Amino acid sequence: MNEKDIASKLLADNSISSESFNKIESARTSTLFSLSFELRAVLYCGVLLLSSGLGVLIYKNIDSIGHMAIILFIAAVSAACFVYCIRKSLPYSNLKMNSPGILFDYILLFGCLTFVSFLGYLQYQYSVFGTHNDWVPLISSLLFFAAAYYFDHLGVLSIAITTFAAYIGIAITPLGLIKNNDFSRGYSLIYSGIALGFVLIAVSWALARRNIKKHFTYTYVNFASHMLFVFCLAALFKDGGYIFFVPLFFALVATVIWQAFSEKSFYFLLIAILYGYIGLSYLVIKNLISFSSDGALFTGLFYFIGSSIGIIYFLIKSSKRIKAA
Amino acid sequence: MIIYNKTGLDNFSVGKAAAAWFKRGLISNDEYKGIEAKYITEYKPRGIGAWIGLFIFTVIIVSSASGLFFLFFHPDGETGIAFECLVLGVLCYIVAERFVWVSHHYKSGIVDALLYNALVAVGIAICIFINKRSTGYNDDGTCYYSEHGTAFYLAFLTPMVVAAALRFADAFLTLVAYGFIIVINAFVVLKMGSFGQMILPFECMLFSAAVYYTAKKRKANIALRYWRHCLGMLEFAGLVTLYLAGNYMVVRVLSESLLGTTIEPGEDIHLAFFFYAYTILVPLAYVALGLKRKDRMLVRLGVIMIAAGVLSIKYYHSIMPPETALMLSGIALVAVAWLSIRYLKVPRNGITSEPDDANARMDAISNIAFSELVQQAPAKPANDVNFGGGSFGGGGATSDY
Repeated sequence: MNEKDIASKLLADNSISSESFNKIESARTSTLFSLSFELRAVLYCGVLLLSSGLGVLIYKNIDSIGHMAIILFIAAVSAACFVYCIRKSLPYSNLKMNSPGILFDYILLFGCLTFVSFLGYLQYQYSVFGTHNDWVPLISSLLFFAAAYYFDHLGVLSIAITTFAAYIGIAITPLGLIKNNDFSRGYSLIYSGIALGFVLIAVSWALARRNIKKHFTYTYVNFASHMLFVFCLAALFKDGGYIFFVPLFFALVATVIWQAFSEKSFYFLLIAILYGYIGLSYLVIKNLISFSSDGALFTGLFYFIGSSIGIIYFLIKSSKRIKAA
Repeated sequence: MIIYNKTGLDNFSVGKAAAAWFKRGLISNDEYKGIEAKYITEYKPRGIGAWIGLFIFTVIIVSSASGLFFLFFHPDGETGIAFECLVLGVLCYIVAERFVWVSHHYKSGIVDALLYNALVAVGIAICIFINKRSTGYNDDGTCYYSEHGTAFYLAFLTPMVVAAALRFADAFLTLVAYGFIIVINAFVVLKMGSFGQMILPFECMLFSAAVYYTAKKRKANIALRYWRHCLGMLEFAGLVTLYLAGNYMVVRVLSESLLGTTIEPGEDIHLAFFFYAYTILVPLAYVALGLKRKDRMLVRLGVIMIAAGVLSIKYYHSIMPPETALMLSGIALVAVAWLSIRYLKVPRNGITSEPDDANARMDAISNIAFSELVQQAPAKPANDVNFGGGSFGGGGATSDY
């Protein structure tokens, strides 16, 4: 039964007026077929292929071109992108602005990508910042934050956050968060990750309170909460430090669940439950293993069954609550 | 045949449509309330988040319970394991049915997890039984072993999966069943010897096309409305196998492994020209047909298959250095996308390049993907001068689909 059948059926038993029926029908038939997403995906792949190809080409011919020429070329491309964006964009506003066009978003992104390459190349070849390699991500991320706010671009905001994290020395992209962080290096990485998470949340709340780009809050909180959870878990998985990290971790889980209810976000509820369950199960299993008997195995299995039943019950109840509220 | 209450399902879809219309302001509040009161359903809509959560935790429960079960009743040899799997599977199935009958769950994550677990457990039991039957002793005391092919196992599993897919109107199981059937089909054709090997690609094309057209036609049939997702899945799977059956790389790899020969440099597979053309032209036809029919699935599949086609031919025949190929294809893609975006700014034939509501969620995903792209850039500055900042694996670009 498609929309049309349903509408006809409802019209036939007088559930909707013929006026509403006509509205539904005209909305259904007049809807345009939008290729926006598909075309942008193609554009994205094209830009990626083109820039990779260009990169390899330059690399192979580095002797005949010379570093300076390449750096200038990259700088010129980046500058051209930013000039285009400044000329095309609407004046700054604290509110959400609609993008001036699909191409605009990509040119801004391309400008940002080339800016990082430019700075990185400059530092790698001529060491303009001396031994301060970390100034490259710092300067880039400051520029990205400015660009994200000025041009109202969530993609650039994500890049700004991850680049800033790279400045501190941690990887927080979805894949990098698990793969590229060497948690065994001691607590310093964990402390800076947790601190950055809290800073991001504080900044986003402070800005949201002043009504500056309120729609950015979600991106900040999303990055920050994943980061906090992963770094707290990493701390739990290390020996020692329980007295501090166990309460912090469960306080975090509780806070995110509470926030999820007040924001009616099932997504945050789910990630809090999943991370929380991993942490809790780790602690339970670790303690059971120390008994090392058959009883511990049974207890562990019963723990999984009992706790999962509890969580399923909680999920069903809260999905009703989030929907009903 | 279907486990769910049909009136309940009908009212469920009425309610869903009405909620969407009310949100868009197409029907009045009174009308919406009236519809809600009149079309009562016991099934509740659930978001994807709840589905994932319930699915994961149900799987945890079933695995732990199976662990306990095996600990309590130490299975005795293969037959014992098979028997316990069978019992577990049947139990899971009964609980799944009970959740639908008593608690009125409709695709809630719990039911799906129980059902899939039941099928896997029973499937394992069946495979062990078949394997057991194929070994034994002859009358004279010698050991015999009759090896059954994959198709033989699948032939026993398929009816079970088909029945479950129909009863629970489950799209994923439909996909699994289709996969089983097309593999069985290929093995049956190959039984015909060299003639079978010759016609295999064409037979698969015909089979897939038949499945696609039948599913497409049946989708409009109102009596089959509860299985619309299953038919949609068949359409998708049919289109995919229709292309793969004639893809140059697939045909070449399969013909090499089935005939047990290697193709020397300078030689090529039979009818190579036809398969080259097929690899490139069929995706283009998908895109063209998709645009004509305003069928998003065809367009997207076509775009992905063009890329797959180019890559699979390039794998065997490299006519230019990689960087030139990268640049040329990049320029081609950018040009096509740019020109189409400009051309379609004004809607033509009802097609536009301007975003609609459905794009908003996709944007959220692609914004995350961007961050993956840049991450590596500052960490190792310009050591391979990647102007785009990322390696050309593409930093999750494909996850947009």
